[in-house]
Amino acid sequence: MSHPQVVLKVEDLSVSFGAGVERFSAVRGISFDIAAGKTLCLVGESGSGKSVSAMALLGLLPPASTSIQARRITLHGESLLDMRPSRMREVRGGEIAFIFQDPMTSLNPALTVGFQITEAIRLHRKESAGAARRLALDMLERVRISDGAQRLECYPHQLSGGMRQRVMIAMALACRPKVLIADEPTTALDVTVQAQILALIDELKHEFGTAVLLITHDFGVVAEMADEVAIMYAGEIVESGPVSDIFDAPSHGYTAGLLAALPKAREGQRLVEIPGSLPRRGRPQTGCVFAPRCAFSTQDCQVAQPVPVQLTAGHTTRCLNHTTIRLGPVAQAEVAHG
Amino acid sequence: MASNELTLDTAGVASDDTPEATRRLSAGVKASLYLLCAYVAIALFSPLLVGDYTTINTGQRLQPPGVEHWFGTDHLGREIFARSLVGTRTSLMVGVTVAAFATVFGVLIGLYAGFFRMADRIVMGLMDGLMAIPGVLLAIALASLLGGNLITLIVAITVPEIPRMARLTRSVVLSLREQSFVVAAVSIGTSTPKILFRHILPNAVGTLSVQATYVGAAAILTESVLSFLGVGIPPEVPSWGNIMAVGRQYFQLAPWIVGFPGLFLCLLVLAVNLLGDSLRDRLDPRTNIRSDL
Repeated sequence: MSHPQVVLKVEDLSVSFGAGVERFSAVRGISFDIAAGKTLCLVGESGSGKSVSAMALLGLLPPASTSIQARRITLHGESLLDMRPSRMREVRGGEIAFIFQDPMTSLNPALTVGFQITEAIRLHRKESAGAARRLALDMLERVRISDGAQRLECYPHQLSGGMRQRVMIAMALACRPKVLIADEPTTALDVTVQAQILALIDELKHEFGTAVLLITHDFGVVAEMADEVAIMYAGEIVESGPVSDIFDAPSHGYTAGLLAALPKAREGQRLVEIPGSLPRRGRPQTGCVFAPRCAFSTQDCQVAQPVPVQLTAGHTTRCLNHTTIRLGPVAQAEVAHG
Repeated sequence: MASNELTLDTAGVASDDTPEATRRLSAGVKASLYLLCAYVAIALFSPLLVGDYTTINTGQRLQPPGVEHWFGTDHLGREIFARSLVGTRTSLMVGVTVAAFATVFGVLIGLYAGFFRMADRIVMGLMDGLMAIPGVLLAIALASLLGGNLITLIVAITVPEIPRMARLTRSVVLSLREQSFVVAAVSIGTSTPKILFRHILPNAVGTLSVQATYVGAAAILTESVLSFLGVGIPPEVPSWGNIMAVGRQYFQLAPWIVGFPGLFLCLLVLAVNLLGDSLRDRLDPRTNIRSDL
């Protein structure tokens, strides 16, 4: 099998907010690639820097208070850093599309759905109003919204949450982007709708060969959607690899902790949790960022900053004790529970 | 599963019907609407209806209201009825044009200041400087500087109203620009002018149009004040303000000279303000949510 083509390449991306003493680095040196037709899941708890990383790619963060540094961010070899604003506008929506977390607030309440979809199309394609409308109708059908013609005349408040998210997906995919960034697209939706939205993204991904960056904190979503997984903690990618490796052989204390914390349908079992919380913003760290909360941490972890270790092809971790953690679920559980 | 969900979603389409009670207009608003229509009719047709309103007839000076002179006459024997009706033109003209110009300029300045943070300090600094001078005082200064006719009067009243409109627009833009639909619009590659005029402005129209009605009402009052003080409309063109200015000297002898144009002014400003209030209640999303529940 030939290697699928890498579409989006991010190397050593750092994002920080503010300046001077107030400076707070939200993302520190993360790297990842996404190939055409593949899904990379960026997983982590709230505040770990997932959304900030994604917004930084498209320059959606307020420029006055943000500084973005990276060795390289390329889309099909073209650098997204220092891109001219006019070219950036073409890339936004045209080549990289973004789906936001909350469909309730991501559509303009004062404009009809039809206007918003056709506008998204006409920003990137020289289509007549009629042709754009037909394309919009076609997209609504693709995202399984019935009575498309009627729905085009609706205002967002007349649609349910699931419908609005479908509209967002229709808008995002209308111009056949090469990359789709979905920032927790199903968090605000109920579980049945969630499954359908995810299935829809997956289906359209296969159809159009889109590379998907899916941001989530839900391992259920990861298991269903991901080809590759990157686990983020406190602004760093602590472990990344193919989805099977992450689930079968987690090699970082945080990944192991997250997997152990998944609720299981067994009676009388207390939910496992990871003690503590994310480090305070901007606190200088020695050693591993996760060490204070890690069930496997040793004295070395407090002192030495772990460097990325490649375990198998594509599977990398930043953990000193990855061999202990890799021993397997049983050994892990024993260590975790003392 | 998919078909199942489709039916669910169809059912989930929120109904657009608001309860009958919220659609119905209150008696006050209805009365204001009728009154406003009457004012517009008067403004349009008064020169045809009332005939002569300028001829000086000293034999008939300071006549009390009666069958012959409905609203009485002033110190030069001119009909107060005719002059009040014709004065409506001036007032409505000033109210509408000032509201329009102040809104256009105020909104443009406010959009600019609200969206481009670099410009904000300078532009809003200027606006704050203008606001520091009392509106009527500034209008008097401008009106006496520019000389008295209808156009300069409109300019003089508009200028002090612009900063208020700009400030309101800016604050609305500041809150709207952080909304995720604006970020979403940026993320699909929308250009900045389109963001401002297609995405932000339509969401601000409610608030701004309410403010525009208040600006209109205030402008009508200011015009009367300026004409009353003698820096407004030239005395040969009747305006409620200059009719009242004349009447002030004869108030004890002939209170009708001040009374009738005063009543016209009072009712017009009241009607415009009531309409503004009702518009606000209808457009305010918070009150809408309450009535939907």
